[in-house]
Amino acid sequence: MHEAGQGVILGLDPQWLSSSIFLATYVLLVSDRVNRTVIVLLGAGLMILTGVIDQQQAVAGVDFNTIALLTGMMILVAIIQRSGVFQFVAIWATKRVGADPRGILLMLATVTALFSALLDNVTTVLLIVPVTLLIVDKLEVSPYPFLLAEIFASNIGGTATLIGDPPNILIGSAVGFSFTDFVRELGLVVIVIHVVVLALLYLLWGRRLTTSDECRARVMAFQEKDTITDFRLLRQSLVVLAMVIGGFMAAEIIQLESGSIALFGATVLLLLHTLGRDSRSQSQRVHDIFNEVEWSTLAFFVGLFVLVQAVEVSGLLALLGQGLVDFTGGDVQVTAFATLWLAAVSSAIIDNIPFVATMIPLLETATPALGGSEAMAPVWWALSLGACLGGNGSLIGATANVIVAGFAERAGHPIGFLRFLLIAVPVMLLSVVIATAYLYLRHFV
Amino acid sequence: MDCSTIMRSPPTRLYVDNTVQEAIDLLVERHMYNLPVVDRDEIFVGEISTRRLIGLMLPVSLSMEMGLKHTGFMRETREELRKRLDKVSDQPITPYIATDITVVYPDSPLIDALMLLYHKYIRVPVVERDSGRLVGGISFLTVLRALEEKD
Repeated sequence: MHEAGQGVILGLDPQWLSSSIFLATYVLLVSDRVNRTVIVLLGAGLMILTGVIDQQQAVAGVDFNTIALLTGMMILVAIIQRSGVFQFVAIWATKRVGADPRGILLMLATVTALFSALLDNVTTVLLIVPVTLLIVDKLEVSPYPFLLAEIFASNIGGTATLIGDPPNILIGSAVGFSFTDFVRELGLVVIVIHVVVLALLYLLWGRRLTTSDECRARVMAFQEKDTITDFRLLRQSLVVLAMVIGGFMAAEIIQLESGSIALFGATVLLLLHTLGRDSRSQSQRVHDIFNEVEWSTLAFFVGLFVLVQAVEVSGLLALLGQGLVDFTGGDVQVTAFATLWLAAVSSAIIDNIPFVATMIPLLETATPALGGSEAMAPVWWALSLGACLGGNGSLIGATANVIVAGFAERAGHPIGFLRFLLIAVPVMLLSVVIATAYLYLRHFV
Repeated sequence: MDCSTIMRSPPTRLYVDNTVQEAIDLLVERHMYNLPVVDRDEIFVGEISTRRLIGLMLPVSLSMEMGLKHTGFMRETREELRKRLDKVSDQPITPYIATDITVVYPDSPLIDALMLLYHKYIRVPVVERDSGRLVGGISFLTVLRALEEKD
């Protein structure tokens, strides 16, 4: 391996060159004119081709634990959702409140938050939004409050766990926080934020959400048990999922990384899903499941890791890290709050994944000046809270938001950018204020 | 053998300003599963399929891209299906026309049409090369009839 910049093209300054490539990649990402995976891979490729880093350094920058965790969860979810369990829960919850639209608003948002804590946000909304649209169609009520509540709940719920939102996977993997650490540190504040946001939405829309008895009867006629398409698969899936989550909780004791646990669990479920079938059918099933793995997302992460590695090796992040320490005067509390709000505002505007991927090494370089890794813990939690909750700040703040907006448009009820902003900004600000108070009370009193 | 020798001409077709109900009536009357659509100058625009029309009867959450796949828990009544269809029956077919249809030309080799029938379509539109005018249609039945005539 060589030092950064030894073989930089035309003898250019590696820091200047890597900053330029990095900045150009960010600008293109924000502009949304080119596919995000292509942009990031292009930037990563340029870092290598121009000699900022070599291929070995690039590979060393890839966090394979994150990649394994993402891949494992994608495979697990692809198999589990075939059982129909997620629709079952959504319809069961709807019927528990007698198909009253106000109750459904609260129930479906809570189901979304719970799913989102266990699955990634995009998968959650892909599963929950079509059922929601069907229910509101039958109830003849506007889908708008329900879809917004689900967007907010998916971003809030995902904040609570290691696997709930990609920023948490990145932070957990880089810093070594376990599944239990996330639930212990963020579980309570996430519940508080979820309840407060739901109360706000209920105050805003609750009174207007009414329907006729006839419409309610249509929804009550749904047979939730018939959503389960494969009981054997359901049992197998739930057992494997429980073991994987149990494994995450016991990760420190069994000394395994979360990526290994998720990928092994996924492989076991793949085995159960294919066992006893002829070889052709096995190949077909494995092929179908792997088709559902979002390879472009995984490639996006790989490209991002290489990009960040290049700016890190070039020394730019160390400079920015020093700038952060100078700005906050080396005070952990100030750094935590600055990180929280910067992450929240940035994540409302740009994709929170590249933002967090950049912030992690930046904060790592600032760690010694801020009192070491133990003292830094509140800053990492601030980054997680800010990046995840900030996703609620605009319609483009998180991929899940964009997916829900797409569904709404196809259903003939487009969610306007500004209309969303009017509710999203107060929701985000309220969430981050609660997060600020929580961090203060938990770490600085 | 080229397409012009066996194509059915003039083809049964719809006009872009026909309503959904008119499309349904024609499909039922002719026992067809899809129909080509032309503008008032007979220029080929696209196709209306029964699949598209069935989509209009379904709740949007089922017919939409990435919509619900498993629906065993639902019970749809005749009234609900009728109500959804009635909502659009007086509207023009324009939004429901599939426009990304591969066509063949009168002088295209017949194998082109056969390959399209094998891989994609029930009926292949035959369109004049320069003007884009719809001049015929080829279905599996058209081909069979042509073969029988030869025998």
